[in-house]
Amino acid sequence: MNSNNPERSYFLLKKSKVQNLLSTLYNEYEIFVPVEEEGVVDFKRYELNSNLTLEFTNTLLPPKGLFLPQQETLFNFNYRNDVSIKENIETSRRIIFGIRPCDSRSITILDEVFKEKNEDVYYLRKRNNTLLIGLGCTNPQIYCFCSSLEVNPGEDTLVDIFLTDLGNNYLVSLNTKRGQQLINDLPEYFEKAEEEEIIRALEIQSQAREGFSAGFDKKDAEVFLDVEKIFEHPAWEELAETCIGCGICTYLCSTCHCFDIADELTKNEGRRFRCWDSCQFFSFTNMASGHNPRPDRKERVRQRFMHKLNYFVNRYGCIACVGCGRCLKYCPVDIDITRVIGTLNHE
Amino acid sequence: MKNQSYIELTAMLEQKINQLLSENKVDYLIVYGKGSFWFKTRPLLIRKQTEIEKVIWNRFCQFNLSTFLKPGSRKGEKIGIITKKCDIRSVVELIKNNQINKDNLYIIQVACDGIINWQKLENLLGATVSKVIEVEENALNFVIKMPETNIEVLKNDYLLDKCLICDYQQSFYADEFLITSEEKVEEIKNQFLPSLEILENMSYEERLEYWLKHFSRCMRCYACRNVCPVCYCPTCMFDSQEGLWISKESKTSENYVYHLTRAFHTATLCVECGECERVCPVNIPLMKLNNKLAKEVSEIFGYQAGLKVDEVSPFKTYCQEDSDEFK
Amino acid sequence: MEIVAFCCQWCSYAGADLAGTSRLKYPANIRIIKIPCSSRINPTFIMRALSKGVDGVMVAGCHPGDCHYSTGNYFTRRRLMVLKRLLEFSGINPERLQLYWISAAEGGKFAESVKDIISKLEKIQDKPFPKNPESSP
Repeated sequence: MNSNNPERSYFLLKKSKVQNLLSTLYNEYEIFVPVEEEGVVDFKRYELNSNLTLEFTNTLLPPKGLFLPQQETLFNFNYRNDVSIKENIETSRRIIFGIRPCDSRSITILDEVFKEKNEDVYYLRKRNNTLLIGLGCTNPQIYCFCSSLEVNPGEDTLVDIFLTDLGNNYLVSLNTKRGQQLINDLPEYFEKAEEEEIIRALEIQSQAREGFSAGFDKKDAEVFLDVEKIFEHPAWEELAETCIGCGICTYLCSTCHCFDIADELTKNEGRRFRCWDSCQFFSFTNMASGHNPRPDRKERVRQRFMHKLNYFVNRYGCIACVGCGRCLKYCPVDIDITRVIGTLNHE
Repeated sequence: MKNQSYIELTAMLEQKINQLLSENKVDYLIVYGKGSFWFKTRPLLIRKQTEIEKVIWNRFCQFNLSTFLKPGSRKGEKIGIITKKCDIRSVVELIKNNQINKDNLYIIQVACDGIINWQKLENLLGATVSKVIEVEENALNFVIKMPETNIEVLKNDYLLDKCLICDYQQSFYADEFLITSEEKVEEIKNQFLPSLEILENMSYEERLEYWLKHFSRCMRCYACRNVCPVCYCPTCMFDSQEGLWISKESKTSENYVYHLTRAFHTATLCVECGECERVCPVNIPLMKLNNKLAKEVSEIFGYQAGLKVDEVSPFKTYCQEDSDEFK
Repeated sequence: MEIVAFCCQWCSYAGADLAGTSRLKYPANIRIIKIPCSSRINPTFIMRALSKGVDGVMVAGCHPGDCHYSTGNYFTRRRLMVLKRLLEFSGINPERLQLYWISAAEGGKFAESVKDIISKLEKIQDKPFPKNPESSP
């Protein structure tokens, strides 16, 4: 997290050694790697027989779930005689291996949210115990538009260790002391990188920005900052007409982080949990009185875009979107954030 | 159909829509519009004649537009709707269950001889899908034209499952059937749907494991419910404030209850349009549940959903002589 | 063994009462839930019970033709016929769901029915729905 940059040094990691490296780390860390199951790639806990895949563009579910799980017990309590509370705080050391630059950017965006004012220990404990090993992206999907959002798919300085694919090897660049430490502890897996390989990697990194078909002009997103102008735009009505109100866009979004907290009680004991919630659902803003400030789909559709492109920008200074393209790919009715930005500018 | 036929059909469709709007026969039309990529289409509502150019008709019109006829999404106006043969069945279901008045509806059926499953195409081509120039077809194959090569794939592998058993003929309930003059609609194909037998022959425990594995991936985005044209309850019991039937957590056991309830509630209504399975981001084979229920309903009651508006659904009536298998 | 019994308030629930006041013996494995009519059963009730790991669900209503609301139990019969097949297809032994017709005067039949479902459940080899499916991979 704290990138007090050490002097940049590069190593080489042979692809054939990745499995061995992971199984060595397995003893000390909980490792999450992209695993393919039923045609879906997702970050799963690494087991020695995991179907690890590193030939993927991006995982279906964003890695936010590793820090803000879809459901998480916060604490258990018991009030049989005395009231006792047992907190459920994750303390194991963890590694996420193969996180893409867009997703690692989303994690730093989420950090801001969970650090603000009251620190969220459930999130931050996991976050501080986790080492990120990033993987450069050279083959964007047709849905990707991270290049519109200050993410460099080829190079990522937000992760602790960053890998660039060189065919048979990865070029390993180190961004933090924690990353440096890991490499120092396991010298048998890493070789010194030659000048020639470093140059080749830098070339790959700089070429990664090319080949994007989706995207938007950064200036166009600024129109959202003017609430007066945008809030009652007819485009919202139009979008709401075809939106089916499911939660795909928010659940698959790597920066959406709204959650709900509830208690589950049985006789004498219970637990408090939190789980993802989505602004696209009617119940998200429905109040006990029966009043709902966002009663129609129009308000709910608008909320998603306004939160990402206005409210979040005002509060944290950046757009809450990293261009991972998940919402574009999976939206059943093809609502496309890049097009929405375009529509609001030019119509 | 040839690409030329689709162009002609689009022109005919535009003309028809123009006529309907200018004669004020409908207030708005639910049509297909161009999607963000060449192989995608999106549902679109048009109200003005100036918007007609947005209308398209091609091999990628997967969406079942009748889901926008659900009471929650319409406002009592006269509606025109573009349908395929299969979609009309869910329109019939909505009429039958008094969710929409037939008099307020103008159904345009457009000739179709199978819709391409674009997800499959995308999986096949990966990122190169953006380089495709066009898709043509010959008797058995789709020819995907790329700048350097042509890829041929078997039609039956890339069509939607439901297209394999469709006869593509004019539906009795279509107010208008648009078809090009040269094109003859093919005869019934008599293909088979992927069978349920493998699953049916498993032991209970294997089957439970199968479903639990799939349902464990569910994240309860509710897309399957929301996209379903016959899930028309104003407030779903799972959204109701009166009782928490399933926890908000998406635990496997809760997902199991949710999916089985969804399937059971749409039994006798489900027209097997396949939308729920198509929109599922985590590939849960929901159609297996729906197909099984449709099969059982037809075996027990001899009833198939979506064929006639004046039939009574078996769950809305009873018969004193019904077999009593619980004795 | 845990069994949830949904009993119609007009007949089977009174039948259970009668079984009690007549001091008839029946296994203590059941938990009775009173419902206004057997057709009040939403399939979710049954699925929810089974997904919590109970061994069986018993639905009891008035004899066909004797429904307090004239026809409710005919609908129940149709629905449960389909539900039974759905349960079977989703991996739960359909024997775990039983439907009985018990009138308010049939305390004996109520006791017999409880014994009957238990004897049926005892024969079942496969496991009920796991209590904690998350932990088993």
